[in-house]
Amino acid sequence: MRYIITALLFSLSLQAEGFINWQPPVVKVTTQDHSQHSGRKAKQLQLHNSNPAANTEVYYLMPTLEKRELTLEDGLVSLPRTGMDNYHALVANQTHGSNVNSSVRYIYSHGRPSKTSPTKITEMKKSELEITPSPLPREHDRYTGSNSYKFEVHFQDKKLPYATVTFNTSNGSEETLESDEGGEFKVTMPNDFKEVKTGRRANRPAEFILKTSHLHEGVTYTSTFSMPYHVNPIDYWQTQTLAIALVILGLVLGIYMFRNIHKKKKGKE
Amino acid sequence: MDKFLTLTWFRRLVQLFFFVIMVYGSLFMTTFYSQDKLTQSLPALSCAYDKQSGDYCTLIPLQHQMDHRVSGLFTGDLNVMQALLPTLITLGTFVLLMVILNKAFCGWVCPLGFFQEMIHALGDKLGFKRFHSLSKSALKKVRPIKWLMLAFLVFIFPLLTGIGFLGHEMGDPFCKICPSRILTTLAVGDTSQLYIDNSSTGYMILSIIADLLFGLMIAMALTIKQPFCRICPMLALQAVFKKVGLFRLVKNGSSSCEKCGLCAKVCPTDIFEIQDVVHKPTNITFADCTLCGMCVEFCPDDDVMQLQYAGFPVFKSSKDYFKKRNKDQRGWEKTTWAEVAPK
Repeated sequence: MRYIITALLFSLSLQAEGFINWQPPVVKVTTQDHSQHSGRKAKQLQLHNSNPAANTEVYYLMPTLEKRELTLEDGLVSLPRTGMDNYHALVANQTHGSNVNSSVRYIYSHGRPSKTSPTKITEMKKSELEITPSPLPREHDRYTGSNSYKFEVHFQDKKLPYATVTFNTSNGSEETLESDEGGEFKVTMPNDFKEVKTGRRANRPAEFILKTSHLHEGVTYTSTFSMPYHVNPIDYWQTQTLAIALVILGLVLGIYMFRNIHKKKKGKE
Repeated sequence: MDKFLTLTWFRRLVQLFFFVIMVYGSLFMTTFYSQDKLTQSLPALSCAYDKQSGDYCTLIPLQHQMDHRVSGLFTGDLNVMQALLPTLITLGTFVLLMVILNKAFCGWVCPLGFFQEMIHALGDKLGFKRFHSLSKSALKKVRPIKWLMLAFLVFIFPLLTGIGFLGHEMGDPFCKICPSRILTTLAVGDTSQLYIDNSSTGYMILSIIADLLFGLMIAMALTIKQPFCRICPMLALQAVFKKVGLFRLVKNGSSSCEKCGLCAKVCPTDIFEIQDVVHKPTNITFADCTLCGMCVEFCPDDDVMQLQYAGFPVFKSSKDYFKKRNKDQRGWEKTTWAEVAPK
């Protein structure tokens, strides 16, 4: 219940600011994906703050860089099963008058090897203004609290220096950042989880969103990047001080064993 | 300068080169992602937890495949092709690499093997008394451990986890205790793999074993040659396919082998069997052999020991080389830091 209320508040706060952005549906809506294996539920995502009057393009970029056009229904999009391993990009581009808005979210799916580097999917131009992860967390990894991650702001395929980027999380953290002269910036994911339970699988991820805008020749461009982030085990149920103590204990034990064996050998001689 | 012109020094350079590629390779050889690694089935402990690695060890995909794919055969979730194909591809790549370099992946490529050799050299210089070899009775106890590690930690426990008999922590139990995971991540400045995990008893036990084993390995490497290699499941997995390799250790018969035994004394994994007399050229690439070539360097007889590639000798034992090498080794063993340090 708390999760739903927080997610609802988070999506409402984003709607108020006028940035389109991909988020999991607040109330988990799932439909049958009849096009694929019947009985399995298709994953859905919601495009927040979408303007129904605007010209909207939504597509799914496969790891092989093929595009699949998708349709929005009541702001929701059902993700097709590609049967392919690796990162997919969900992209929305919306044009309305002098506003060009975009949102990108990366989704990891399992399946047969894609044989294409995720570098290519992040490097590929998906919108005029774009926040690009540099890099995305590697397979077997994910965004976690207390860790820092690098991003880049791109405008018309070039890095955009000194762009203001705002960072929000569904747990309530907020920060204003600026890209450097190379168009890069770093974000440290906050450790802002409440009521954390022990174990990786016991905790739901929270959502973070990065937003930026840029005015160029009278046109306002906005872009968002959103992904889930997780509890960092080191902050809660993993201890490093004890681990160092154990390594030292192992060292001492090893040297003690060695000395003992040597003494025995000498005694025999 | 002349003393650096030995097989051991050449091997050290190759090991250093591969250490850089295996631990930091994504910075210049591949990119950051697992997808871009060189083979993803390397017969050496280049760790997938090291995000900057250039490649990763075959044991991680094998454990995952047992857990997530092969187990599907028993639960009925997957058909035979879906369940076995990934494992066959991994093993196929592994065998192909074994054909090229055989067990030399251990002695020439493995970053953990190189690290242990460096620690041993440090132990020498610090004046630690070295164990020249383990006793035959100790070897009898130690040698089967690698096979048990391979069977249980790489195949059986992950498979039972996938079927649902064991907890999730047993999905990749070898990686959870592997010292290379801690070493290679620390080498790139990532401390996230050095931890005690309190989330369940299983995770806690595995993390305690991992940390203790890492400390123990360093301490033992100061005095014993290649302590972890002796129980490493990679050595066992390589042994299964050693006959397909083009790179081999070959011995031609010699009458003085029984009396001499220098080859067995210098062997980093104490394979005393290499001393045995043979009467015709024989492939003696034993299960514990890492094809380091030390036995060839220290064989005092011409052409008795050979490293061969596809049947062609690439390095042969000789009296002259032995004299030079033996002199260098004595010089190395005599000099400790305590002796050369200013008083």
